[in-house]
Amino acid sequence: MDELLQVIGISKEFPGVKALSGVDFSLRAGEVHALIGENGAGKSTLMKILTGIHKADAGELLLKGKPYLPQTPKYAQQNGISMIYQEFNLIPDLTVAENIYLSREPRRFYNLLIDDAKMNRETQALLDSLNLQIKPTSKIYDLSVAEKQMVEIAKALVEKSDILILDEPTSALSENEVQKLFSIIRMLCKQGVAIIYISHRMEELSEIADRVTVMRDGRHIETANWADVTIPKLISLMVGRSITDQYPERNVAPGDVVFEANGMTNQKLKNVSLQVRSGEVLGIAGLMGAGRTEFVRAIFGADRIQAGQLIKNGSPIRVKNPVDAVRHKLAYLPEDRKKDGLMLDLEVDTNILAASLSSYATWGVVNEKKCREVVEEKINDLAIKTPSPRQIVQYLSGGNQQKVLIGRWLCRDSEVIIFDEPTRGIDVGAKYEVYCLINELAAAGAAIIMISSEMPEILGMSDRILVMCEGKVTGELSRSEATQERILSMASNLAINLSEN
Amino acid sequence: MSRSSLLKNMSNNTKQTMTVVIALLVLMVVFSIASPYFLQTNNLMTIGLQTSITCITGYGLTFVLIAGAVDLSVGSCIAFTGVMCALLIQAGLSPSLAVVMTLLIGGLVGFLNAVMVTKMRMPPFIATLGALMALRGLALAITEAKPVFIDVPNFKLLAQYRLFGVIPLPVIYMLALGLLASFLLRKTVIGRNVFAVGSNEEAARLSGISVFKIQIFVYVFSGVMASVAGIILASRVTSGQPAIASGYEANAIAAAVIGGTSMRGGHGSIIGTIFGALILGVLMNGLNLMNISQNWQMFATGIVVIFAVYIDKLRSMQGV
Amino acid sequence: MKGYFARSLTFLMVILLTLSMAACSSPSGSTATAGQSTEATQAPESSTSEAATEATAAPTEANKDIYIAVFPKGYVGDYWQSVEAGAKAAAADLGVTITFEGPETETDLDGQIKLIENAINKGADVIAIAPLDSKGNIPIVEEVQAAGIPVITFNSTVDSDIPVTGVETDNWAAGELGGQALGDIMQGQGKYAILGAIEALQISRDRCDGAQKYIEDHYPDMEHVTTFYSDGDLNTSLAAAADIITANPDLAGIFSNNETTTIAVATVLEERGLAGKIKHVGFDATKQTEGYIKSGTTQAIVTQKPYDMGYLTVKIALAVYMKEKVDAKYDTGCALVDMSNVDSAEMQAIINPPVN
Repeated sequence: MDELLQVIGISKEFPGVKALSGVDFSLRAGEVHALIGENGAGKSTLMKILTGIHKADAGELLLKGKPYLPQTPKYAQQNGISMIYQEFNLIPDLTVAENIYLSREPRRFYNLLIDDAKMNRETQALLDSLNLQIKPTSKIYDLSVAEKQMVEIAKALVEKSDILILDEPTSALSENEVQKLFSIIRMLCKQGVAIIYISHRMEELSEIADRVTVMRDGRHIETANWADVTIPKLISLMVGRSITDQYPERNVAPGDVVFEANGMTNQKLKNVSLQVRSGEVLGIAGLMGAGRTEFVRAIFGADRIQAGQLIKNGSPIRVKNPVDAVRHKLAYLPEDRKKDGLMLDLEVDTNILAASLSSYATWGVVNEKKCREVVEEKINDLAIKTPSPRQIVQYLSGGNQQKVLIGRWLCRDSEVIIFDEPTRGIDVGAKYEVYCLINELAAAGAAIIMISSEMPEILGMSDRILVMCEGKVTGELSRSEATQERILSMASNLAINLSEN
Repeated sequence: MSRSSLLKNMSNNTKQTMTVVIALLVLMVVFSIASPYFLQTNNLMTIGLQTSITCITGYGLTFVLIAGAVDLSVGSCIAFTGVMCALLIQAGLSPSLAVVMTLLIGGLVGFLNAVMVTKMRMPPFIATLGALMALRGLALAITEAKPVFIDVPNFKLLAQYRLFGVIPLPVIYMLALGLLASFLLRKTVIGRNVFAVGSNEEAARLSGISVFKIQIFVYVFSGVMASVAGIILASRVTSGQPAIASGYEANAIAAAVIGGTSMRGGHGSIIGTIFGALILGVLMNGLNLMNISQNWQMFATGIVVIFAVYIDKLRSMQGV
Repeated sequence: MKGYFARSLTFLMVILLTLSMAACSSPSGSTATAGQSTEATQAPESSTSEAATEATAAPTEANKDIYIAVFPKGYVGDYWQSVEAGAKAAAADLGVTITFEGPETETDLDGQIKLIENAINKGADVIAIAPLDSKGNIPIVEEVQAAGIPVITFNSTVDSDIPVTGVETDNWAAGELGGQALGDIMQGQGKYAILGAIEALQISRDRCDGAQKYIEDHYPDMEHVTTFYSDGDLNTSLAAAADIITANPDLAGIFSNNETTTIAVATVLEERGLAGKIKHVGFDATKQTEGYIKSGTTQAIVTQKPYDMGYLTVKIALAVYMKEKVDAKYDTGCALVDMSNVDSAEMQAIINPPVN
């Protein structure tokens, strides 16, 4: 049996989340094995177990037939498994050779000095063998993204890896560079290296993958030869769950268009636009890196734009920074509520009042009584579980923290509210409460924009769904038209028009 | 939730101030045993007088530290504003007008610091360090390194007059400014927003708070406080001394940190700073009375500061 | 926001500029921007046009190429300004070129060393140093000698045989003068304290010890309570003075050994209404300390003769360069200023020296 790697029944649990349940996976020498699945399917957790970053709770790993228990990434490397991440692990101020041989530099003079000449020579040989036109003495910061990726691969090869894991390797490459990468991959395969290739770009996978494994919700769904499956089948395997009934009813008929963003363009956005009506929930779907957060941040004035216009209630508005946005009654609950949303070491009441303090003040002096009333009201209305308004926000659960943030924007009677991953890191019970709150806000007339990476959430909550991919809007679906397959294919930017299965 | 954890979560600020007050009382007990003159009214007033400089500059630093930044230029600013005050009087301005203009100059210095930190995006440490050097050089340059004598006999009353014959005016300034600063910090919108910015600048920004305005506010305040200290000193010695107050930014920071202001930002209080400054003042005075040389005083002060910063670190580790 | 910002910035910059103009115009036209170095170069024409009466070496054309580098301990304060005035006057009279450069604070040994090293590289012919640190200045003095440049000291000394000679105030004698004055004023009775600046300096210790010894020998009934050293900062000295008085309620007299400590003691005495009740003998006669004499807060002030010191230093430096015979030591002496002679021409020349 030439199974290089065997993953048998691996499970892994994190507090509150079962990331992997009894996953099986196998890898043969010399093959390119695609690993596909939605965000949260468990792909990266599995890879982290293979590379020694996490320890599995159950199951076993066999490498070349022998038990394999990686304790650390270095251990994994020494055993021939390397991973190339999306964010490169290179040191910009050092040269190509220095990076490739980092911590393994050839020495001279009683092991005290680094043998630069030898290092550069061997690097040159390596680069030549990969047909790369990069110089060993170039500094990393001078290289293009594609070249950096090549260096990463070369680095993995120096470590004499048998298994190479590539995570979205082509996301920053041009067509030419992708082909170059593929030719290197093919060469490596001929030498017997096995590649685990994680990607959502189906067409690319068609070109390069030998076999494919689909994961969903932490489980292994299916493994097949690429030649034996079709893309639509794969997609349906990726999403194939029924949407359970965990979303509150929505009976609101949206009103007129109250807000428009037209032609927003910057480094990450390519001329994107949206419209949203009062009482409507507009979902924005897409894969990681699609540009959804960048879109809403641009709308909110948190990032600069090179072009674009915002129109509210029919008149153009200027939003150059969040101060303007808030003034125009826009609200934004960021994706990372701990990093960008809450003042973690301050109290609940401070956080709730953060955006609206001046409305409870005369001549700049705060009216304590009014503030207390408002805070109490919000705590009650939103059912925020906290021992007191003076509790430090850090000690609240995720769901209650999110409610605090919602409370903050409620104080401002916001008309356009942007939720970026509103239920991330929140348990099921609290999620339902948040959904109800969103519906209430919509019912009261607010226009809601909701970014979510959870398919069921998008489908369950949105009246309309905008799909983005790589900085562009690739599709729009109404509630009735939307299916998981359609969304996913738009998110992967496939031109294929799928009919319902 | 149990009562003990309730206590832990709720009154952190109060707990911190309590620690400082207790420390102060302990010090005072120790020194009153060591020297019979310590508790005399006159001596306590002297402590107040000597503490006022550190305390008032400490108010400025408290604001800046809570906002998550730092101001190293206050020592030089004290000297510079003192010199400017003296020069303005020498140039013929009436003392009251000179005082007002000096306060404006202090505010201007603060404003320039803020510009460096906001518009020019310089790290506060570097920006205010540069200001420290520039202001000191400026003070020495325009006076040709000589003290500038203030020939107005009544000017020294600003610092030397005693209310009811007992309380030195600088102590009154210290308390009055303390009330004002505390009010600004706790009861106004802008003061509260300082905490928000210091705790999480990005979150504050995304809440619609103008971080820019807050930074200007705290730096201008710090500059004005430094100029108040400069005027008090100039009045006390009836001259503008270009070389004075070297290193006083360290005392101001120490007072604030001992009093519970965190160097990370987002936490702090004026009352704490007052007690912090008093601890430093009592320490210096007590050791003076015991005839212990200033070298040991510096050592003792240093130990106190290290201790206070360590406790601050423990507090922050307990949190995040 | 941008327009508003730019406008207010401009407005405030204009204020600052105006104020600094006003400030700069007050002191007598400053030539030194950083106050760190001044060069007094006199063209031979002006020296031949004036009758050079005091110089022993006749000014010649050749003298202007002689470069004497003078390094005071610092440049802050009346004292060094007077020294500089004297030095420049001598340079004018003798027709030599001098530089007068000191570090920003009198404790910045490193700063002084750097200035001296620069002078070596610029080809100084003679170097005159006021050592900051009697031991710490030894290496640089050796370096100067190694470069073949003769060295003299002034104002203070260094523990080395290399300097050819030194121009000083005998600080011990100055201390004795202060002790004598205090003893007289206190009529040989009572408790007294000494407030000194910067214990690390030999000259500071000499003044304090000299005063104390004199009093011990001549006024045995007087009781020495303490000699307290402060760090040189005026504000810290204020605290020290105040606390000494608090700790010794029956204190009858204080001797302070430099300008900063004198201002500190006088200020505290005035603040507490003790002027005259506690006798005060100070050190360094300047415009401000003169005021204390006239108001009766301070009874007497010991003063060096900084102008004379500066003058003599340059004169002796030239003599050393010319390889003339010089004494082992020169003492510019000290004087006592009090109410009786404060307005005399001699004392006024010290308090308000003719600055070029």
